[in-house]
Amino acid sequence: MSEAIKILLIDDDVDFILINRTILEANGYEVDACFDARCALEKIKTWKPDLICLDVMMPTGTEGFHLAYKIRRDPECQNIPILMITSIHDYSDFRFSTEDGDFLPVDEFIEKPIRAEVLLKKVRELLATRGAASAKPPQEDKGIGLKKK
Amino acid sequence: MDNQVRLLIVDDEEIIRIGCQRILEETYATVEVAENGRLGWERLQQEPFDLILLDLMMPEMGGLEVLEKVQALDPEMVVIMITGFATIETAVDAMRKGAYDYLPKPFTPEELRTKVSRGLEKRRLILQARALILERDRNLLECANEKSRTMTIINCLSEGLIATNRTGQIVLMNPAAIKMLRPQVDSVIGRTVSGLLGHPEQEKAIAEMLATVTATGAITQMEMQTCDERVLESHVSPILDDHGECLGTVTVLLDITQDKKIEKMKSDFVRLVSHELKAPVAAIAGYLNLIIDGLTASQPDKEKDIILRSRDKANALLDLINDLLDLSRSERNRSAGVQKRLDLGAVLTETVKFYHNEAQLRHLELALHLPTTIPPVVGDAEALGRVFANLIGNAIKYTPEGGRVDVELIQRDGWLAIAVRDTGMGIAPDEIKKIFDEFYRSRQVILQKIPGTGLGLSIAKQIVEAHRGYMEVESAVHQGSVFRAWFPIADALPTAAPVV
Repeated sequence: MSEAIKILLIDDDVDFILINRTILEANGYEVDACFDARCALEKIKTWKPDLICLDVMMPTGTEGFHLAYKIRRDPECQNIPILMITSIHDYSDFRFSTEDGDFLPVDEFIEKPIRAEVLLKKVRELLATRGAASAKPPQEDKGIGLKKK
Repeated sequence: MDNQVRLLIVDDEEIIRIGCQRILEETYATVEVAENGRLGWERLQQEPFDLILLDLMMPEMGGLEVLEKVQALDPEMVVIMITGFATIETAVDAMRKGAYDYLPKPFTPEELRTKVSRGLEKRRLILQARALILERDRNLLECANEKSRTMTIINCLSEGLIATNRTGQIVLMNPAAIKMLRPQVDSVIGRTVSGLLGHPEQEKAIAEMLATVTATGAITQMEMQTCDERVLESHVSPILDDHGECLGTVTVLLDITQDKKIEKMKSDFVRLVSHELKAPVAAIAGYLNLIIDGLTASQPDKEKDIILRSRDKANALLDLINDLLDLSRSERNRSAGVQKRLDLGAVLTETVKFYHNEAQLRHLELALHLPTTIPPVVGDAEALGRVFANLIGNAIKYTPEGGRVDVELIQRDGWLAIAVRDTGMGIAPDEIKKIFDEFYRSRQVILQKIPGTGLGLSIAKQIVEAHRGYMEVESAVHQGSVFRAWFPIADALPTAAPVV
């Protein structure tokens, strides 16, 4: 039996982690979780996940973005695909789209609340295109780019 | 016969006096005589006359002296000097001094009539002119009053008012408008808005709006932000003449900064509440989906954990909704609560009793210290009960086992306070100011996962303030906190609230 695919969940919301961990584990993925950026960066380097699910991370608002830039700049982990989880629409009319991935160093977006089938579909798609995504060059931290839907 | 005219003849020669009187009485109603200057002057001081026939040479008081006095008394009184040939030069001198004419002796009745009639005509004209001047002055005064009244009204408006002419030059700007726009120059009259506000974009927007209104005659409305971050709402209307031609514009400015702030606070609050409500519901829905999808079927422990978490979330939601209802109630009751004279000691005893079990369960000492006499406070017992419950409940919730909570009543300078002192975890100095904010929960509380909505203190503060009281808090991390809610004592004249 081949080694299971490893997914790291990064979110400060315990419920979110518990729910999505259950979904992903039930589908054969190996899952670990971090509640903040510092723990996440260490975990990424030591555990070497195949995919990162990263929350934008309210309440600091931008912790997730900055972590994404750090991951992308770090040669050790810059090729790991990032699925960014957003719940920003709770606060504004802003939405992220795949196009934003061109200037935000993430590969795909998914909005809370997350439905199991949507999460699994995006995870599968990202893992399938892993090679292509890794070609993305490291980028500068330009802060948050938002656009109105 | 002219009934209005009053004549006076002052002459020491009886023949002339009587003769003149007789002739003039044919035409005029009142013709009086005086036989010398002094008597004549006395008479003149008693009653007004239109015309005087005044002999130059008289004993006791000469004609020139009388003339001088008459001039001072009524400069418009017509004086005709009666004079002999020998004194013609003096008569001419008298005319220089203000006499209207002179009548050299001897004179015919016709000459007398002509001179008097002409003199009276002159008097009539003088009086008419004076009346006209008076009327004109009165009209001018009225105009001025009317104008200044209108200006006073305009200057006292709390709304800003600006009028411009067709070319956009300012013709009027009231003090409120000056205060709102803070123009960069001392005198704005005659200037256009350009370069006036030190804000080119805003000036351009205003100029464009004024031009549009002038061109179209349509009433326009605009909102703008000033350099100092205030929000003004402007309504611009055209000033139209009788033919519907636009003569300029009149702009009314309203400072809506406060309204905007309240609007924003309201929408921020709604957003915050929606988020606070949505998060637990989303979590519950997520947990239920796991169970429905059978993802936890093989792990009964995990399933139970998920169900318990869901129940806790549901309970927290209920607490939150109850707090929100309290919040809206305390806001509604801000002005109209049930105001009664209360014995806070009784309300407090009741609340402490309620928390006794909980304190015991958590191995905490809960003690109430009441003074022997407690002055009354005016308020709503139910609302104040909520405040005390919140403060005592918090103290119990945030104090570790083995600690103590002391509740007491303190009196000082017309104020009464309930103080709740605990030996709990305390509040960090940078968080003390925020703990009364809606939904704020301290880092320590979140870390230790103590349930709460972050609304309790905010509600308590509102209720206390609705009772004209205030809250104060002292705290030291790991040592404990003391919360005091101060209320003005009924009947006492409370001094100003001490600075916290």
